[in-house]
Amino acid sequence: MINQVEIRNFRCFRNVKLHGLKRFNFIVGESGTGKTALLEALFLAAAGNPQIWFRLRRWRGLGEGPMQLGVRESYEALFRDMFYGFDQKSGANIRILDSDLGKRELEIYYKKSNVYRLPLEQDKEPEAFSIDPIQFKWDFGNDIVHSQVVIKDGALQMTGDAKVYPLFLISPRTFSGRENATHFSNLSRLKKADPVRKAVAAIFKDVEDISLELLAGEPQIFVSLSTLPEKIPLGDLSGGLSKYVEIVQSILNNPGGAILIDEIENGFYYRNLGDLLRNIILLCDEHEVQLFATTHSYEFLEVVAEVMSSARKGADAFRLLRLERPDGVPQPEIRVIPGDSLEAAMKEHFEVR
Amino acid sequence: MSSPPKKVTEQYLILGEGDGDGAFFKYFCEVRQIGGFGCDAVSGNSDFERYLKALLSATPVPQAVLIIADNDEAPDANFKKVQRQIDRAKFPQPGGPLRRASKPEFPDVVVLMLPYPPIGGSSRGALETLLLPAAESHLAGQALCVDQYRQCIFQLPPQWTRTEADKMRLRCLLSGSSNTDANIALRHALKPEKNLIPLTDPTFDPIEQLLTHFARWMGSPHLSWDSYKAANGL
Repeated sequence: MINQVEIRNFRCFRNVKLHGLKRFNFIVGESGTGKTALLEALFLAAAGNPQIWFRLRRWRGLGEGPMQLGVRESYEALFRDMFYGFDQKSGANIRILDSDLGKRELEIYYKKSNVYRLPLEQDKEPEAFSIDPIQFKWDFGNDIVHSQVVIKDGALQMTGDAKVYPLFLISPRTFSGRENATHFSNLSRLKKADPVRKAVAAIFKDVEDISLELLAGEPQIFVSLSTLPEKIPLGDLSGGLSKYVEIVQSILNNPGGAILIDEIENGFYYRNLGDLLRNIILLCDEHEVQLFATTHSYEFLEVVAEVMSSARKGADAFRLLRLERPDGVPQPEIRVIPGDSLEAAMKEHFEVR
Repeated sequence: MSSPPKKVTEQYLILGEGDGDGAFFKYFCEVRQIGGFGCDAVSGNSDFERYLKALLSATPVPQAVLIIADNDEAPDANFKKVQRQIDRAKFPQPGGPLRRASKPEFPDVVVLMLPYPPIGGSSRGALETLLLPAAESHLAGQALCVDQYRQCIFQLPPQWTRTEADKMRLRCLLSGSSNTDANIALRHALKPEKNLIPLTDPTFDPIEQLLTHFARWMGSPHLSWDSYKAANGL
């Protein structure tokens, strides 16, 4: 379980240290304070290849291009927003400490290159320049893996591949019906799909069964409802149910790891929140999965306070992480608040977001 | 529709042990034009721990909390009861009443035990003990009647303690003087427009002095209010 995180010069974080993280960590804060950036930091550090950075860019709507390959400014623009204050010189560093797996540190920096290019364009004065390739260095304490992003044959190529940390990111921007189906297929092959069926049936009473079917040649999760004569695609039934299945599958496919959920309450009907969260807590406890979830919803936090006692270790297994950006302070501050304080705050009806 | 979650937007928070304390300090600050304090209350002197724990999660968090509790008949024991709750909430724990306690990442904490200042040379009593002289001098006619009633009723059991006797006398006085509600709650009786307890009464001047100097005291090296006062010639 991740109990410490340190982030330096990444996105909006110049230097933050989080200590005392627990099994269930709920992240709050105003828009723009860095909640998603915190999840991205964890996701990137858990990855084994710089390719994840490009996925994060796509999810943020930045895409990968257009790009003039071979031009330094264009190459650096792909990574510029990774660094605090766009300061590319200092490099970025994300360090996580797991109680079982130990240290995992990702350092990202430009490696000085002495290879110069001289583009030969007809209408320009020839001028030689170098591109310093970006380097991702994963340090596991007893092992170091380097990965470089270089331009070769008109494409970005990545070298090296580190061992990944068992972690899933679930966000409205990452949802994929196909990926959901793949996860279900994995569990089904391992004869572990029953807990998914049970978890869904516990909340959505009309659901009789879940299965994998082909839809226009594509594998999709279908649900069988007591009220309908034939199965329907999960996505057609409910966005909330699709998301819940995605969360449940991520837990089951990732024992001993972590799941990151951006805007956890989105898509769920308020009356179901208590049962949904209680089930997620039970599954996380059972499969030793750590949860990091962002939320803007007071209603959801009230539910968190209510269901704390369902966790194996009660309120002690919970933390509230509040990101704040006080006036005049350039980077967000993160307060790690004990679960019993959140519980008391909800009883006193305090604003905590 | 439920009310929006509460926020402590002022720099300092006065936290009373009951509605009456919360109302007294709220109206007192308004009448005496003292700024910088938000006022709230718990539901009895056993509820400070939960409130303080909750305050750690709140946004924003005040710079200091002034806890108000009653001495009743056992000033030391009652202070210790508050102190233990502060400790259990992991807040900085003051060594005595009107002493400041500080700890990194926590609001400063000061406890004010009522009545303050002591009334009639005794620190025993409660908020009602503090309010009684002001109410009696403002409602002198009714106060005479209540006093006669007190002399009569006190010959019979139960034998009230000073704290309980003061509560009874104030209740009788407010019931007999309110022209809108014979059962008026203390938190309503304290509203300036009710004209029952004058918050301008000089009995309360030491509290005004404490509140108007509070920010400076918190910013000073003096841990105790007495030491701050002595150093500043108050």
